[in-house]
Amino acid sequence: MLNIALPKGRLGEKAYKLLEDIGYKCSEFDSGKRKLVFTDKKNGVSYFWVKPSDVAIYVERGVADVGVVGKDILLEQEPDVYELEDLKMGVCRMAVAAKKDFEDDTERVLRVATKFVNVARRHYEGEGRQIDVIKLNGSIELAPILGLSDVIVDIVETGTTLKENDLEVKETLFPVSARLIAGKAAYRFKNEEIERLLMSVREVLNDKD
Amino acid sequence: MPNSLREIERFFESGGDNQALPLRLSALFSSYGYKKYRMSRFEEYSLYAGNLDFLAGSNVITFAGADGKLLALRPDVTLSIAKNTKANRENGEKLYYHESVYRTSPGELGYEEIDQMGVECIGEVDLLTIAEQTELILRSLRLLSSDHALDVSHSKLVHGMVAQLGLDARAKAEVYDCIKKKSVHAFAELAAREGVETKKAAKVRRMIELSGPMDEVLPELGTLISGEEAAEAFVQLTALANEAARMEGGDRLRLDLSVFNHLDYYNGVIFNGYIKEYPKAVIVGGQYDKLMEKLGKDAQALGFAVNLGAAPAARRRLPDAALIYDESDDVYGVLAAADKLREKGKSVLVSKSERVQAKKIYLYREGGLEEKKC
Repeated sequence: MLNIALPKGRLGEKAYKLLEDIGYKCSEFDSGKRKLVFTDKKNGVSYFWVKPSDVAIYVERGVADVGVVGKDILLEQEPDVYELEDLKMGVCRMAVAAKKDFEDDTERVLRVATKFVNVARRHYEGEGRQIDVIKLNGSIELAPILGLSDVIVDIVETGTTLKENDLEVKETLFPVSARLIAGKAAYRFKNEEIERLLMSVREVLNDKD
Repeated sequence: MPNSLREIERFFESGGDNQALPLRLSALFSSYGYKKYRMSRFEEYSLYAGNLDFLAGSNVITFAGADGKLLALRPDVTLSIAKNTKANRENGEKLYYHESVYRTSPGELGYEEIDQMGVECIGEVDLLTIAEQTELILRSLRLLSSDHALDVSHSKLVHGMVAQLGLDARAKAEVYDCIKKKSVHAFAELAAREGVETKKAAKVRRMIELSGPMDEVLPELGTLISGEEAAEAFVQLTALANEAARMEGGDRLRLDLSVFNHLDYYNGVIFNGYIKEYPKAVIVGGQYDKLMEKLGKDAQALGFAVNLGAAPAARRRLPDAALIYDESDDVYGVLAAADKLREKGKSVLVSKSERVQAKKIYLYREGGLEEKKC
């Protein structure tokens, strides 16, 4: 039995579709339901439908054997897991954004609003810049508009939300997409099952290329 | 109480309680001639400050001592032993310890106290030393769980293969990260970006993927090896695999190059032991001659540590017998009857209440015991 943690939402549904296509169908799976665990004994698979930022925790702690999680979350949490494949879905980028007319005064401490505190700290430490990190849990774009912060560090998909709020990307930090991850002990004790899944995923990705 | 090593292992395989794990590991290490090493709870911070990379990103908890010296709660035992040992290549020593270490992880508040046991072999490290520690790790893993695996890698092999790619320090660090995470896709991107020769990139790519029992994986690894450093490491791994194949449980030995430690300290074999009940490595170790060199010691060293907190909760074991008495019974008579059962190797719970759980329940009758039928 392979235990798979999927992120609730659009990305999880896409990932499930991919896994369903390669033989990991779960007959009772329905993302619209409130049920959180779906099992298909015949196909030897159990899905956990969890909050996107919790996927890596489930895998790192060995509750799930594999999972699908965004690179943004992996870089923020740095979990002790294997990152086996780039699934090339949920593609976006991590960026620094600010109001269009923002001019950086390097003599001042930069106020940065973000959900990705570690990513932001690492980035500005690398530049030797002192920052004041403001941890927010949502509607990050509001921070520079209302003067809570100078810039934001956040994921940007199409840039529409930024544009509608008179913000723009000032710097791209790294590309983001969904990754297939595996737990370290699971990789040893369920090696054949995980490798089989990985090979099938790679075949699909290669066909797409 | 079991005495011989074989009895100890059998006891644990049959579900001995995990509170006794330190005793059993002590008995195991002692049976190999390892001497118990005790140390003070605190170290001067300067020891860790000069070797932060050895601690793999763990923060050190510090405080000022009575004399104003900056002290630290020990985040690691090996560094203390390596610093204090008087052993050298001619006069080696084999030590084991049972200590708490205190760690924090970057970005996390608070600290974790880890109950740790380990061994350090300091002096000369040859194939026999490595094979003996492999055997010791396999036996330790067996005490933790019947479902276990021991992954082996080699610092020089990883280092040698990466050196062949001809990359700068920044890109090399990225390659090591790809190997640690088994991220073939990230390595492929990096190799393309850095213009790594296709053949060389393909070899490292396959190296990242390789993972499995020694006898299955080593032949293929042999075809990928290039460069003197990696070739030397490959010979050592092959020799170890040959010896392990003759050991009890040697088939649990796997090769996986994602298992490697800081190259500034480790220069030889690397061990990571896993059990099915715990999501991360429960045993980590390896050869760390470079640390000894850094500390100005003329000795090689090999050791490993067991995270005792990772031991699975013991299955609840019922006593073999419960002996039920009442107030009118002869006290010494009851104690003597219980002892008679103990002499037969049974564990006995003496109780006034009949609502106890045991494999067999006896009622005390003057002059003897009567088994209560359930």
